[in-house]
Amino acid sequence: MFRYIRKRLTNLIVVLFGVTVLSFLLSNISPVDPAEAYARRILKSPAPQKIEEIRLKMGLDLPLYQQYINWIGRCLRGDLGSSLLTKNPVNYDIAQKLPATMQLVAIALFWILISFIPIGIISAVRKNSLFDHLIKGVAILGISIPSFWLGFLFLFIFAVTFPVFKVIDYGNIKSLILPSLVLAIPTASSFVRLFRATVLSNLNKDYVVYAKARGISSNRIVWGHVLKNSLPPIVTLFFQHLGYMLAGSAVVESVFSLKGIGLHLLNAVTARDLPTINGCVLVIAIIFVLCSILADVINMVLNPRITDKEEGLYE
Amino acid sequence: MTELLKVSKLCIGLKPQTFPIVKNVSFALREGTSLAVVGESGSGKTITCKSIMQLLNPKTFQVSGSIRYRKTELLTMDEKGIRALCGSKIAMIVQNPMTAFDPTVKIGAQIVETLMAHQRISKRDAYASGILALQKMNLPRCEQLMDSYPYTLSGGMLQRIIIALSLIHEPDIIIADEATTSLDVKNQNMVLDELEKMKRNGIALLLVTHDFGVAAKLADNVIVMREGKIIERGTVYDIFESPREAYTKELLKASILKRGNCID
Amino acid sequence: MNKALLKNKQILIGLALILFVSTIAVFAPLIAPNDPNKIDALNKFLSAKGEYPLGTDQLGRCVFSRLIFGARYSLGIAVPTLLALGTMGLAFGTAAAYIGGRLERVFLIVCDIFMAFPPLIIVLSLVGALGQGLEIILAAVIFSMWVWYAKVIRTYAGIERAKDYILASKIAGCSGLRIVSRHIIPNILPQCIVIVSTGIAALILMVSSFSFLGLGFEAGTPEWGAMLNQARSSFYSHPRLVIYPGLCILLTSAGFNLFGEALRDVISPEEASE
Repeated sequence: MFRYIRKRLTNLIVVLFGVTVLSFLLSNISPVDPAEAYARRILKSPAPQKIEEIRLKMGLDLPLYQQYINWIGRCLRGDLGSSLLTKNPVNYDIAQKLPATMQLVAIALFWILISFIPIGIISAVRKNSLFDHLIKGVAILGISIPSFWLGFLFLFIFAVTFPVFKVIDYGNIKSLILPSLVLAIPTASSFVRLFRATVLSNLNKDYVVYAKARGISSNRIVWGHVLKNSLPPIVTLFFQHLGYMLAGSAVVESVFSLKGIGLHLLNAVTARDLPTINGCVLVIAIIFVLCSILADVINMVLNPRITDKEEGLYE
Repeated sequence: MTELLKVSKLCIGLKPQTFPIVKNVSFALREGTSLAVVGESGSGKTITCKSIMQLLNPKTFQVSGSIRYRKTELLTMDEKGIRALCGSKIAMIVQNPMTAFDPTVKIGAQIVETLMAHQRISKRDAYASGILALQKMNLPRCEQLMDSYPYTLSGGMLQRIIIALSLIHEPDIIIADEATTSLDVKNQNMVLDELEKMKRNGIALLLVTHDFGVAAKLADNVIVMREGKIIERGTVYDIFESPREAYTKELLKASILKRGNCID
Repeated sequence: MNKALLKNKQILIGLALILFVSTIAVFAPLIAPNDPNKIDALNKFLSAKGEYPLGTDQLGRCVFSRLIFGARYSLGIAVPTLLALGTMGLAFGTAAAYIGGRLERVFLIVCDIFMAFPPLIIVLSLVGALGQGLEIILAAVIFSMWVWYAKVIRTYAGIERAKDYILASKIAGCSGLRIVSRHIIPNILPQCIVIVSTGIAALILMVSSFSFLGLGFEAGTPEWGAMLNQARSSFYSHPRLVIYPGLCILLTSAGFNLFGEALRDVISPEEASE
């Protein structure tokens, strides 16, 4: 158990380190000379030696690893630079935009959670029934549909044809129902497919047969034992998708004109606002890693055997 | 002596073409006696005993004929009725104890769950009687066992827990499906001793095995199955002293050879 | 198994859709009645008739012809990209699984680091840093996604490698390369086809969503996502301009998904067992 936790922690530290290195490299890959860009921003036509001066001041003459250490230091102090577009500190902008996206993603995750578990289980238990075939069709449709298009369809159906929702309606939960559904449907569909397969393989296990032989009702077997055994792989995916949705929200936010981190990042990309891009990338990657820790913890509670069985991947 | 279990004209087919696996099998199990169903793997013996408890997936298997427990027909019984019988009046000991329990739930909780499925009992009382049942099996540190996960225990230990669980509701019939196969010799003998004890206490045994040694030790009557059909039946003396079928002789010879190797 | 494949309706529907869209992509110039880029300022937002089977768009271009040519962009990008991803995945995945040991551990660490970034994020940051060309987007897609393929293939190859027959062929003196190419790869090929097929569907969606966001294609390219993006300002007055390209994306990705998912059902053991 403790060995397992230690292994996961080492793993985590290695990954976090790698994530920061990759973030740093991604932020340094640009052919634009940051010193020159900065100089041009504060001065009209900077002289070459002025640029050199700024380069020294920004520490850009140092070897790459030294720059990395400085960069990490700044990040730890919460200093992600300031946006070229809005002139605000990057972390201020992110703090402004992230909550809206978090709310959107949280509602989407709620839809996913309440849909895939019952649907996956019922279609596995009633394998090859009409319900199962129907769900299979809907799920394949769900993973094949372009989400931006689905967004427009929803707008067209629920906001124009049958005006249940207002087209533009900010600041309340109701306004997030359509966007969160659009965000949730592809993920929920792929989860239904995967979960059904996992439940099916569990239904064929010995412990199900013996539980029946002990006289346990099939409802209890399915919704207790089989459910608990089928969850771990999907828990990992669930938290992974949380990270995807933070990034993938760009599309949905664009369709529904929501002011969140996704659209913010997209605008930064179009305007080549590098500090903002790098800040968003780092924040999302760190949220992603934190989610994977959460997934590990939940899986440890669900299936204590993981801690014994799983081989250490690397130490 | 009353007939506890009467299987007549049982046929089991594999869907969708109803490919026959078990053909026209009939036998009876009387109170206090024991019956061994012997055959090689694939002879249909395990499928037969699974069908008694409705453990076969109705979408995959087509079952016809009749299986009666005392006066009640089991084949057509609804889910609720059959689950009430299973684990109380008819109990089962399984082939592979290592995979029989849900790996994510502690032994104690699975025992409590079994007790609560059959009687009105509080969780606390169920837990207490679970410990008592384990103690009757001479298991060590029963409180600790209740609190452990199945994968932390050995096969022999788990099989003893399964036997304890099968006796917990004082059943009329115990079905032992290859109960010794996956165990080492020491635990095999332990299980055989326990089964013998059950028989002395008047519980009817249905033994499913490929091992004539097990049959010889415990059974009153023997039926031999091959390719889904009963090819020979008789008392244990008949079968051992004067087997008629060549196949039975082969099986006997194989078992005796194996036994010889084990014991020495 | 081949018989089972041909009997499976879902596989046939999927294949038919794939073939249909591919044929359109290949013979686009022959099928399209008009030049997809010809602007006809006098005939904006025409409804369907005669010369324009599906009408014209906001610049008076033939919608039908643009949709036909769109197939070229979707398949022409997704298929080669996925073949590149698949080849890389196969090479790295089987190598990691076969060699094992420390190299495999390093490989897994690299995977974990890459997987800590949602692919979209890597693509966006690379595009932000390097600019918006289509080549850059494709390179970014490959850079961000190769580990996902390599890791899955490593798992399959690892399962295959643990089987006894591999040990037997090692004892018989087969070289490592031969074991990988003759035994491991052919045996995991069905799973790989599933990954490739569903992967193409995912990639079609991904590329179209990039062009919907205005990344990757020059303005006016008859790519479905880009068409949708350009039509969105007139969405409420002319919804069909948004509906058609989306429907094309849906049909194409559904073809690959239907095929891949049905194949997965056929080869996955839990569906077949009992």
